[in-house]
Amino acid sequence: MVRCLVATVAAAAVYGFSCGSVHSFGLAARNLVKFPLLILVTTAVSALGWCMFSAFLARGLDARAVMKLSLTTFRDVSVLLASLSPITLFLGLTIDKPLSTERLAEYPLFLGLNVAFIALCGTVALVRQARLLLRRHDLGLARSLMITHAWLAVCLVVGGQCAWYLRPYYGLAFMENLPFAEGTAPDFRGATSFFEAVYHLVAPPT
Amino acid sequence: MNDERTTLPEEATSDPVAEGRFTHTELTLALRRPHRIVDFVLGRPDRLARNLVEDAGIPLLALVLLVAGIVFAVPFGAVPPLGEFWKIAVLFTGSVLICYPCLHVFGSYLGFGLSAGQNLVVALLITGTAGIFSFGLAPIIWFIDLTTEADPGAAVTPAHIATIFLCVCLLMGIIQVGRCLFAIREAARLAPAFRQLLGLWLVLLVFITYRMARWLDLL
Repeated sequence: MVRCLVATVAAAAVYGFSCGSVHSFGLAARNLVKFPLLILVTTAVSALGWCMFSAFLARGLDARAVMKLSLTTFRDVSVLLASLSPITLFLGLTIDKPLSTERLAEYPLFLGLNVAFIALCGTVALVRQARLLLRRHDLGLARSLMITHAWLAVCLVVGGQCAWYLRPYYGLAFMENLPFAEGTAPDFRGATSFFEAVYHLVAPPT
Repeated sequence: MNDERTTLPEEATSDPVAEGRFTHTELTLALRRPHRIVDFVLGRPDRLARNLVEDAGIPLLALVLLVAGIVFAVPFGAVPPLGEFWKIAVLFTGSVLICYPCLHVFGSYLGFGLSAGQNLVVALLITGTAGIFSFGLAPIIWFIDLTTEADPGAAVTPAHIATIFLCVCLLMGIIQVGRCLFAIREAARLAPAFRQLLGLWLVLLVFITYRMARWLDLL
């Protein structure tokens, strides 16, 4: 489990660094800490919730097995993302930098690609986890899918808020003195949490 | 009133996957080591169903479920945004205990033949499961509150998220009762009319829980 954790932290740091390169070396260096922190905090806060849902859905999947599977999934996501970090780094260094909030140039493309990368790696890792559950723990397809979805839901709630708190990871190049983490500061729509930001996407404030 | 006790005979054709009921020793051990309660309450609906159907170890099982409903609910209440440790235990256990008499009286009157203890176990299974799930979600709501500084007028506050979590906990409790009643063949045989009564009772329970939440200033 320790090796798994070390691999996760290292891979997340590599990917974080490549993301921050779109802004500056300073932000990239900060991401060396922030991305592993995001994963570790999400794992720590989600752990009890995962265990409860697993106990509910699958007999014989004890807390240790749950933590191992969860850490394995995070490691897989991190390593998959790290494998894409040369591409991210290359793009981060070579895209047309944004000049102002009105002239974002290729920055939205960079953001969109990274969202796609994260979605792709997350999906691949989750599918693998569901297959592992099927094969090693003999849980059946429906049950494996239910557990995977329950874990994903807990992960989205915690990871979303944690990511919100630790933002920014990318940053517009012309913006200087970015804080290490925006924390509880409201965003441009006034949202003070990940959940409120999602709500504002559905029902924008007037 | 029908005072019969439902002690259905063990059938040769019973579910081969299901194990036996929880023994007195196991239940006592669970009280000494509460972490085992999680597995007992969430992971073994088949064994819970056996205790229920065979009317065995009911007082101790009820005690285990009561402890689960009260003790495991404390952390969710204790951490912000609620900040009052007793509220969740009162919300779930209080609501169930308020509704319990009518489940037993109507069940007896309509001749389902479950003892007071069996009905109590069915009712407390909801609070036990809800309490345990609230325990699992306590670190998450604490973390969300810690990392959010929302105005009282904000569209989504940690208190809103806590309410959603509590709804999830109650829903899990209701689902667990359903799983328990369908876990073994003998328990499923109890079902047809009892299920209808239980369905109506659950609607009442949800309404009382909602009223209780308002009374406790959770909504």
